[in-house]
Amino acid sequence: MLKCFVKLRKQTVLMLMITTSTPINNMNCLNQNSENLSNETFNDLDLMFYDSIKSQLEQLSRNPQEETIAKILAYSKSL
Amino acid sequence: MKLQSYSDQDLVKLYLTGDESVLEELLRRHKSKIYTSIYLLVKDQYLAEDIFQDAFIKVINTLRSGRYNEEGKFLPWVMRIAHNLVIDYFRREKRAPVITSADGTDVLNMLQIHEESAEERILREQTHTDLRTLIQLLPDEQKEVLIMRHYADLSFKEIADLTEVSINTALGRMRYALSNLRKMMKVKEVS
Repeated sequence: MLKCFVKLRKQTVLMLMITTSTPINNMNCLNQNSENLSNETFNDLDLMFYDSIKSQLEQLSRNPQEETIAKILAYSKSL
Repeated sequence: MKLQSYSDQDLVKLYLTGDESVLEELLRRHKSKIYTSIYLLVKDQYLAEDIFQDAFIKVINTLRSGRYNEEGKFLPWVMRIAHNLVIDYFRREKRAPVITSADGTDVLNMLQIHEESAEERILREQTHTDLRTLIQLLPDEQKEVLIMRHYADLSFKEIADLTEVSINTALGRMRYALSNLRKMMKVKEVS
């Protein structure tokens, strides 16, 4: 367990040292038809973390007020 | 046939024939993604409502004028319009008049207001626990990618096109966003 944690930490540190401009290897993995966060471009820690916060992220979703929707529809009808 | 089963492209074609109910379906389908994205970027409900409304007025005008490119996907196109309106807003905010003292010094400089680095912000706000707050603490470009990927459901190519960066950069920003969120939440747990 500790070895696994240390390995993940090292992986994280290595990832943090990479600048955003560094070309990513295996870019041919990018499949526009099913572009999920994949192991080729995100490490396991990032993927697990993203999965763990997805439901919390969803709870932040909001909708515009009905009044705004009504104004948009009224504008369209007025044309 | 129920409108829910139509694709966005088919709905747009129907709208152009004069079917107003189609616009309602398009709004129902996409309003949450678009509005949430705008809201998390501008952090103000009323401003987000205005930008959302303005975005769809542009959508309607472009559709009606026949300038909509049918090959493009509807949602990324609307997101691009909304994103540009958000950028326009921030540019206007930045151009707020500078108040100078008698010797020409910017008064705001005298107040020693400076732009915090991401690390400074993280350290300053380490007691915050709300995920929304943590997202707001991310550097703007990372927050933008995270919002567009998760809420607007855009592909990284679409995000890269919209933000005018390479796919590599968009992916990198998403990685950094997740990494920074993870760090901040860890600090929260420890504190």
